[in-house]
Amino acid sequence: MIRTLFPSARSGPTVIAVSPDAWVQGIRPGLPLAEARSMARPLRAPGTKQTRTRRQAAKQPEVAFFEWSPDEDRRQLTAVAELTRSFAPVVGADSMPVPDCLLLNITGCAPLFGSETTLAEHLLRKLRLAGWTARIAVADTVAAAWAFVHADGHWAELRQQRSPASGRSAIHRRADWNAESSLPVLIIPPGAQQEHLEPLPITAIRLQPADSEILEQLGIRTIRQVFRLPSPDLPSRLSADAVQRLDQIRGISEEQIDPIPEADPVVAQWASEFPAENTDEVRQVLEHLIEQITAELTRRKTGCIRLICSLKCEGDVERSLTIDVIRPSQSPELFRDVVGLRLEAAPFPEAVYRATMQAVTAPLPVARQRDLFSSTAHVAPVEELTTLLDRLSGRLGREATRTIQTQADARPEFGFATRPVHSAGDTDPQATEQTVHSMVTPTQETAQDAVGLFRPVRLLPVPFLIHRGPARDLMQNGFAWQGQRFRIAELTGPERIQTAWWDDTPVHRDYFRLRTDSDSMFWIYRDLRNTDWFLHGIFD
Amino acid sequence: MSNSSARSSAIRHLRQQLLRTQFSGVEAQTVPTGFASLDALLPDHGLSSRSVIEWVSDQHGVCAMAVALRCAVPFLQQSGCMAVLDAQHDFFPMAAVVAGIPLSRILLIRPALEESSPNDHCSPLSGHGGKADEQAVTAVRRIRRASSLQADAIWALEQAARCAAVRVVVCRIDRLSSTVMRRLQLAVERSGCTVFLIRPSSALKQPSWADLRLLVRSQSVTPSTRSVVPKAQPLTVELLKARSAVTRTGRAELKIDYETGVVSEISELADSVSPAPTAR
Repeated sequence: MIRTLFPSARSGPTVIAVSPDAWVQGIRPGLPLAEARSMARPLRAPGTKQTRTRRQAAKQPEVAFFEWSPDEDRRQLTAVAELTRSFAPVVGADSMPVPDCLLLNITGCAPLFGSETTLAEHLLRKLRLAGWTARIAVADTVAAAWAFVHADGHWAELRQQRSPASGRSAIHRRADWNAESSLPVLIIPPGAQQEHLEPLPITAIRLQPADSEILEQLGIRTIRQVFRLPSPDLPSRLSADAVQRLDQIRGISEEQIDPIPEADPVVAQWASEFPAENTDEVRQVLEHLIEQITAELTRRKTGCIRLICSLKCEGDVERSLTIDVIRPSQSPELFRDVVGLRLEAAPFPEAVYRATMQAVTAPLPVARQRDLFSSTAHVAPVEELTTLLDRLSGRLGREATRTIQTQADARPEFGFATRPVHSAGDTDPQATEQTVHSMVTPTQETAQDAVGLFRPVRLLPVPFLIHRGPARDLMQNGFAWQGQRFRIAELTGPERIQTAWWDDTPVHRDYFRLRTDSDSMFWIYRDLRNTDWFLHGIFD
Repeated sequence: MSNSSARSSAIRHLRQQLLRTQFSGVEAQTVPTGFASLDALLPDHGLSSRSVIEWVSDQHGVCAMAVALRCAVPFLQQSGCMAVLDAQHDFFPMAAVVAGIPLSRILLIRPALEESSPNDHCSPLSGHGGKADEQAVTAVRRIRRASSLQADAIWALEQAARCAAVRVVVCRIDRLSSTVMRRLQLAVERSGCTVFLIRPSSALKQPSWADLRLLVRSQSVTPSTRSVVPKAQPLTVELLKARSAVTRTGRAELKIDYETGVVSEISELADSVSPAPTAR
């Protein structure tokens, strides 16, 4: 990647990054080191004494050169991440090959500090006390925040746009602004990031050099131009990585933050010459580890959303067990309950010699005072549902409890998607809690904004072949399903559902609503590529 | 005097409130179904929270679950979610959307469907025939796994019924023992939840411990019914059993639109057949 960005790096040491003082002296990233050194220190004839006046020294300060080590950079970034943990539940590094910034998910955290501005100011102050200078951008998405914080040439302009004093703030709704202070903080109001992204160059999108070159050849240099590109044409012109980055900057594709593991994780271990031989003994071992873990969590005043257990079993077999909870908790009873349910559903066949348990920590939720005497408020729906989800996933697994979203797909089996409530890899407790909250909150939305088509309640996961041949034979002979014979009274249709031929799983079907002579209704289709008829749905 | 009576009245009121909080169950409420003819059949003129209701269909494809989903909508006007226990992994959410249920309010519970689990351990049967023994072991494993999957589904049903944040549980289930039914009743009394059990016709042969048992049937579509109910499938809902022992005879007549899938009542005015001309 470095050699692609800086071709001179192929032939020798190259400057990777420069400070403002070095920039002033003409040193740029990509310059060969020897040339950069000569620019930093004027050449003098041998034997002559270098004399620099104080004025000259001020105008051209000495430049120091340091060898770049990506591993050292990552180590330092991890150290900085530890400083930021009290500001956000999830802290990660960006996904670039050479990460140079931290990503903090501060959803829901602003009220704890008063506002996003105050949060950013406190964070900046803490970093400065630790000897770091930083710049902070707050936006709705990871891609936008990265773009704003790296918009070197546009930083001042963006801040100018946000200033109410400039008179150009009509499009901005909030006055949560610190133009008068000198703090390098940029906060984009919710929902307004698109218009601020438009003037930025395409380098803010995190594209590979080859994709950037293609866009530049097409005359596309700003994000405004990128937004105007037709999405369906992009995959044929750009790499899959570029399409994903463009979807991220448009806000279409969600980007998860890959959390940086804690420098000092909460871990408990057990090992014994005499193994735990049955499920009860394994449960006792795990409960013992839970006690240690929760005691440490209480000492650190933090909660846990996931326990990762590694077990070394006889025969050198390694097993793992992951326990997720919706809300960060310190409660040993909750974790014991969930572990017990998991062991009940999937007992351990081998003896266990060693066990290690590590906690993924997250800040504890703020306790809210409830109205004791309210007839309904003493039941806190979110907490009750959280407990149910923890228990269900404890015994049945993470995949068993799911939410449903519609998808824009003509194929009935892909017209909706289900996602586990505990999304795999999603360690953001805020997002999961918001999902739970929306489940229990009555809304004004009317659900009839979708389909408006008569659809069966049951859709067979695998369509069932009921007939091969023309429709008249089917009408005459009927079909059999689950040991029952059905005679057909009426066939209504067709409703054609067809997808593009270049799709991965194209579909060419004519759907019919079938009514039997006993007035049962089924949803069947004829595959247009042959004469096969399938049962797909039952109007139960 | 007035001060002391006001004080004792306040103390009495507080004592009642404290007693209410000690009982963690929610008071029973009657929720109208939205169909006047169906409400007229029901003992409380609506469906009760804290109850187990069976929707029995006399055969496949008679829209019993579609009617049940439509009757579940009023329960979601309060805070709480709808839990759908989908043990067969064949629930099609579009039908819920047509019924008027926002997808964001649905918790879909899908116990695993796989036949074998890596954690299953089963000592091989003694025997000398290698392949026959393997098949027998596989069959035993499948039976054990099937029964444990059924146990998982019933356990999940009970857990959902116990949760006060779940307003209504919808579950298609064939067989249910009286023990499980009784545990469901205790669970809903405590939580205030309502459980809709969608059951096949074979359930009619089993005794029912549910608070209500409703039979959903599809009416024959003939030229005369088609003139009454054009472009829709007529349905009837009969009350077979009510725990309160107050039963009303008769049935509710509903229809499901062929184009939109919306369940509605057959209106006497709009859908009535014009009277036959009197002879002169």
